[in-house]
Amino acid sequence: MAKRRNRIEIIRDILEVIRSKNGKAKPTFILYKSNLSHQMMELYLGEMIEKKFIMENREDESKRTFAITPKGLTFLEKYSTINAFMESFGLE
Amino acid sequence: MVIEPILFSGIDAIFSLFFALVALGLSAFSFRIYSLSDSRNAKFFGTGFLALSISYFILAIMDIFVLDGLVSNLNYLTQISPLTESFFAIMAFIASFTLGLSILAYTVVKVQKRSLFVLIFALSLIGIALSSDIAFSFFMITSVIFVFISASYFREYMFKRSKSVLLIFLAFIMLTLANIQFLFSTKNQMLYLTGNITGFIGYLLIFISLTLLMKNGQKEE
Repeated sequence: MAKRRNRIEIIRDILEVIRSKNGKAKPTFILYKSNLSHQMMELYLGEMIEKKFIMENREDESKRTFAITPKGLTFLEKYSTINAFMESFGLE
Repeated sequence: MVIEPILFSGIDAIFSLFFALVALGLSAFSFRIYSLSDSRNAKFFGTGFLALSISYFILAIMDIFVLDGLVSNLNYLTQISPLTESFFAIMAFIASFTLGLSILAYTVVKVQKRSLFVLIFALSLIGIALSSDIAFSFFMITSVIFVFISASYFREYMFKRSKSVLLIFLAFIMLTLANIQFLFSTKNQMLYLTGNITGFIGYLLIFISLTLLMKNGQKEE
């Protein structure tokens, strides 16, 4: 059975999904690639917008995209250190 | 309550300074992780070790004044007037150390209810303040919290089986043992010395862990 992902890992996975689409992705693509339920995905996207890891673009009601921010890119660059620290000290 | 061997006078200040600097380093790194990840737990962890660092700096200053004879090295808390700077320094030490440990205990519990932290801190401080032997209660209560934190890291290690978690678990075991030795140091002066050495080993393990994490960070860059 696959190990359950922690918060940091899920944020990393979502950011990787968005980065893989040239830094901009639609919610359906993120949902498909991130292996989350719709409700969980919306929760995480909301948190990540609030924490400025991503930003939401709404061209109109049906065209919603999410773009990765510099803070989000830095998170990905430093991910292994963040994860190692959180794991060592049991902070996930 | 805490009786130090004469030969150790002044040297304990060096130990306290080392503890303060390692705790401060860990706090700073934790806040750095918080700035990168916005992790609430990293923020609390950093705050906890910052409070511990402050307490160790206060302790280092008090240890230096023992050498000058300004503070009695026998049972600090019952032999000095409540209106002296020494009394406030000791109270500040007790408050910041208890605060730091309470925050760490709250962080490892992983229950996101601030009222739990308030409960841990308030019960600890009240238990210490209302005791007739403040120093004994302080070391007893903080030892219990250390045991709790160590047990939590033991569970983490059993779940993850990771070397890095093992290092931190061993560090907290050392800190727990150090605190217990201070508790019984009135019966045996040497326990004050061995307590400091044990605490040094604990913070050395934390320092090693931090160094490995920083090296990992440098490799990324």
